[in-house]
Amino acid sequence: MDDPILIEAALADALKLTADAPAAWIEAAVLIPSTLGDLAAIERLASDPEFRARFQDDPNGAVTAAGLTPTAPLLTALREHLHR
Amino acid sequence: MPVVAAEGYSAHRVTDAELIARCRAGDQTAWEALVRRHSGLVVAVVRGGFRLSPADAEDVFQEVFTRLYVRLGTIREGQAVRAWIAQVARNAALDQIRRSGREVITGEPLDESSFDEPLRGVEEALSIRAALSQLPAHQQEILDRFFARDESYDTIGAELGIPPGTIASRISRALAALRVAWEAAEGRSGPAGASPK
Repeated sequence: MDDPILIEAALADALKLTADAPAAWIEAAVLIPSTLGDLAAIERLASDPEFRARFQDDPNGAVTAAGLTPTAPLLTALREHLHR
Repeated sequence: MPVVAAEGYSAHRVTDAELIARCRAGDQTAWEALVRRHSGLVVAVVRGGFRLSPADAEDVFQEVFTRLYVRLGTIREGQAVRAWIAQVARNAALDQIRRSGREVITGEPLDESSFDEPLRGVEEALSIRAALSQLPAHQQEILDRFFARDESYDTIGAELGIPPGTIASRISRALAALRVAWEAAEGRSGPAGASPK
């Protein structure tokens, strides 16, 4: 346990494990609010029984039929509402 | 309108609860600060705990923050946001593994407990990363470049203007300093991963 070589190797592993998120990931996450737009509208859509049934069978098709673009954040947001 | 820049929120140690309240009020800078504050945790879980591919890790990263944003209005005041994020990241990573068909390849159901040990290591690794911030800037920089960014001695030497022949010894001294800082912060002697096998 006191072997400094083992300890410092473990420290080095920890630094590798905790490398910063790539800048592009952060930038995309920061844009989530503008990508999603109006959360209330998403919630209203998710509460529509007809939409819910269609979304369960075909998420992309249901979103497109609702006049929206089925982006990954939008699909995630809808699933989050549907699973509540 | 943002009151201070995202870095300012970090520097002033604004709590998660305060950031969430500001996000609910439409403060985009608070949202950025929240993302930056917890991005390291999510990366450590998905990369370190689950060893996801870069593409899968990015998908899970975005999913976690999307779910957080959608839930901002329902997170209870005082709720441990960090623990919530860690749990969502864990579940999203498991779902991603299932979707990627890793269990189909082995023919066995996914054994979730097989990730318990690496996930325990994530918290310790994050505490070591936090100790790094206690070191002088030049030591933080050389350790981050060599271990986290995987830069070569030549690249580090060129970027920092130091002879490549001295980099190994500088890294060694910085690691020793990190060990002292981490042990002081944790009140212990050595990471668990340092135990002889």
